[in-house]
Amino acid sequence: MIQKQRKISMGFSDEKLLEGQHIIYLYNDDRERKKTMASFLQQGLLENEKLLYLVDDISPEEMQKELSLLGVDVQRVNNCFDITAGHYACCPDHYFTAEFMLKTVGEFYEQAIQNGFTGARGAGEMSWALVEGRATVEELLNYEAQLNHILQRHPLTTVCQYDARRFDGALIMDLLSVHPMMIVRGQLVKNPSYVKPEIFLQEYRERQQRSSRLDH
Amino acid sequence: MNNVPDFQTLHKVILIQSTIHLLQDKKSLIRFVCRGFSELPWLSSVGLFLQGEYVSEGSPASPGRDDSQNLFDALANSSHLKKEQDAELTAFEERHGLKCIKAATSFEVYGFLLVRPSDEKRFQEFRPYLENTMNLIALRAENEEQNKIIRRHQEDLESLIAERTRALKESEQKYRTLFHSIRDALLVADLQRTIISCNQAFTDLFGYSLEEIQGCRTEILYADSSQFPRLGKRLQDKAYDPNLFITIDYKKKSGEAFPGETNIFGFVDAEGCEIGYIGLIRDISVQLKAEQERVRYEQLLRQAQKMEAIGTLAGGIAHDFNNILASVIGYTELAMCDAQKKSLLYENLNEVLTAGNRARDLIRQILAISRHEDQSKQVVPINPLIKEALKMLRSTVPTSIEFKEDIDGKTFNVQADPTQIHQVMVNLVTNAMQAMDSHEGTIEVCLDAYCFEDWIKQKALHLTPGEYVRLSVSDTGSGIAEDQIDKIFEPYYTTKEKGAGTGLGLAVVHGIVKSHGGLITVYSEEGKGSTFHVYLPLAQNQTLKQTAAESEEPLPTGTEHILLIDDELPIVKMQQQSLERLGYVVTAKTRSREALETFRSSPDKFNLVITDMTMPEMTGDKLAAAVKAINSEVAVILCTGFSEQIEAHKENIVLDGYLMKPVDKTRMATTVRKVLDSYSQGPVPGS
Repeated sequence: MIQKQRKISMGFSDEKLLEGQHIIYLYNDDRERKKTMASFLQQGLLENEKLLYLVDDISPEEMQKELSLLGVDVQRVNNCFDITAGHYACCPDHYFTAEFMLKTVGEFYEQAIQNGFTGARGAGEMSWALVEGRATVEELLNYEAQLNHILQRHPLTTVCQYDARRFDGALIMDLLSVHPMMIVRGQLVKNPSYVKPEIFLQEYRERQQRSSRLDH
Repeated sequence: MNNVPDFQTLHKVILIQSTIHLLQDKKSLIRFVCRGFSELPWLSSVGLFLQGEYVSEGSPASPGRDDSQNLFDALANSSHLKKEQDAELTAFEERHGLKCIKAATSFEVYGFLLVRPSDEKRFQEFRPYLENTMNLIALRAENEEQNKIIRRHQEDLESLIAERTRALKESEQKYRTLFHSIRDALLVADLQRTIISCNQAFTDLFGYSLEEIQGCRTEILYADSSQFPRLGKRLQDKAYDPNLFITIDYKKKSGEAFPGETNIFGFVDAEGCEIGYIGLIRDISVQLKAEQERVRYEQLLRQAQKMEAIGTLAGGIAHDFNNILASVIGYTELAMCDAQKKSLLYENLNEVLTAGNRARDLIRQILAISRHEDQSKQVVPINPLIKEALKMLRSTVPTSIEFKEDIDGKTFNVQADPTQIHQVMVNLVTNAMQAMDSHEGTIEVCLDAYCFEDWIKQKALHLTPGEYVRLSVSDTGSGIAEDQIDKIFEPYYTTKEKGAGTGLGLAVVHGIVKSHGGLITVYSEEGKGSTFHVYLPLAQNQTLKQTAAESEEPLPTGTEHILLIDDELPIVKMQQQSLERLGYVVTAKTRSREALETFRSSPDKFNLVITDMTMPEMTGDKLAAAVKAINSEVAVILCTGFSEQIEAHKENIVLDGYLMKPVDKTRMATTVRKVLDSYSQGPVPGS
């Protein structure tokens, strides 16, 4: 089901953008990040959107309290706000697959519309992916690249939060390549490094092959 | 030539630059930058060396880690000479066929970027942006270094603070322990004398808790409120010596006052400015009481010593006077034997004898003062003695004076001369009666047990340790002025009108009491009355003796041979006559050595030796010993004016009897007969 895309406010930025933006948020300041995300989610509530927050650093209950303290009216409407552990939502079988996750994103958005919400927005802390054996870099990059296509059909406005203190610099550069928008110091900017998903994935695979040859 | 910048590439470089600050891990940063630059289309390979870390991407491969490290070392060693560094870089670039961009600040080289441009023109077009990125990386590295230094300093500082805090805590704990372990009350106050703190001893002494006293002014502590401004002025004028102690009357929370020995000193801040006072307070009420007691006992001791001196003087005079009296009484008695009874001569001689006897009594009283009188001490219950004396006195005291007595309780046995105890009572009650001029009031007599507080006091007063009976005689008379109290026991001291008293009453009491090993004290308040306390030691485990009244019997006589020695010719002649009149054969001598020779020449000739004590050449005790050595079957009687001399020699010589001067004929006759009779059944030591 394709609807006419709305222009929405991100809450932390003045300009209005089309819903379904795929945003990367590189951060190394938790206070700033939570404040930015609180504005993003609170704006979603104001725009009658279904919210999804995948937490990782702290428990869902603790995040709910923190967001509440930061002004998010988490109790405003029943069932409008899902706060879940990231690894639980993304890796139900203890292993991350892009396919499952992409399907979940689409379903979440469609269900929100069916439940009368005007749209949906989600924010996810991605550090769960650093746990050994949970996800491969390739699968993660594949998901992030493919998500751009999914969001065109199911415009779930998405903020992927990557902790710059914990993720490898090279991977960060690759992740930047698959997010059209990015948040820099609380400001939303267009990502100049963004590469179309197919091109990125092709280049990535070629690079991997070169690297593999060199290793041998 | 295309001069239009490739904005996509430019933005990508700017993105890299703006993201650098987020990547805290150095290796992660290198990989981020290396990956980012490797995606630039006109660079075929990229290598980045930063502070020992090296990453490269693309092909042909960049120089290896070792080459990069060597270049870094060369740049670092060339110090800050840009020219030398540039030369090193140029050489390296030529050697490896690549371009090298330093990551350096004005002070330090942190690393470099190694790139192989596939499009030299594009490379040169973007070189400033790449250099700018490397500068940012260098600044970040420098910033990181500085942060490390700051963090290290901060850690050092925190460690120092933690150490100091711990030391401070330890110091504070030590101070607190010291503060509270001081046994004197310690008070800390500010310059306005508002209490800041106090120690445990303070709260214990004053009864206030710290919370109660904090914030109060020290005024609350003084028994006399005027002390606060007075002391305040002294403190303000710095008119106090911190080395001196002052005594201040304080008041406890309960209202009880006490004297406190106080030491006040100021305390200063780090700049040396006085910011308050510390007061050390010690409760000296116990010490003061002890000091007062000590002074009182010292006075008593001085009094006792004075009485001792007076007694010694009186005793000496009495001794000489006794010898004179002995002649007067003895010869009078002899003369009366020769005179016709009821004749004028006999009557006149009788008057002389009466006067002599009165003089003898007077001497006895003087000797009593000096303890030189013969005493017939025996263990007797004192209660009936006192009761008997009161019974006799009751008839002489005006009925307007009420008698109260409390002497029927426990019976107290004392080693005493009953006659003298009687005398003590007579004198004390007479004194009490005379103290009540109006002949109205109350005389109270009581007996109770008393134990001196401690051995030291007993020792100071030369008292024998043990339990005492206390005889108290109180009156409600005029009392004694404070300045007179020390003199009342002195002989011939009297406040009465001339002729109303002899001034010997209390002196005699003092002498008697002292001769009994006791103590007399007086407590008096002018206008209210006086109480005399007589302390006599209780007799321990001694058999009670019943006082037996002496009976009048005819003088015993005898025919034995007596050797009589006295250095006073009149006395020896008088005693010879007396003994001869009783039927004895008497050989009289005035020199002891001659007497001994006489005895030695005929030791069996004599039945009895009567010798004076104090004689030149050989004293009586030595003569007695010599006589006994020659013939132990011969009895010896020692004759002296000092009973103490006999007491002193009793254990060294075997005496069969002794006579106190002046010796009247009755005592002489009975003693001589008694000793001789006892010798007819074998010698009996002592009498």
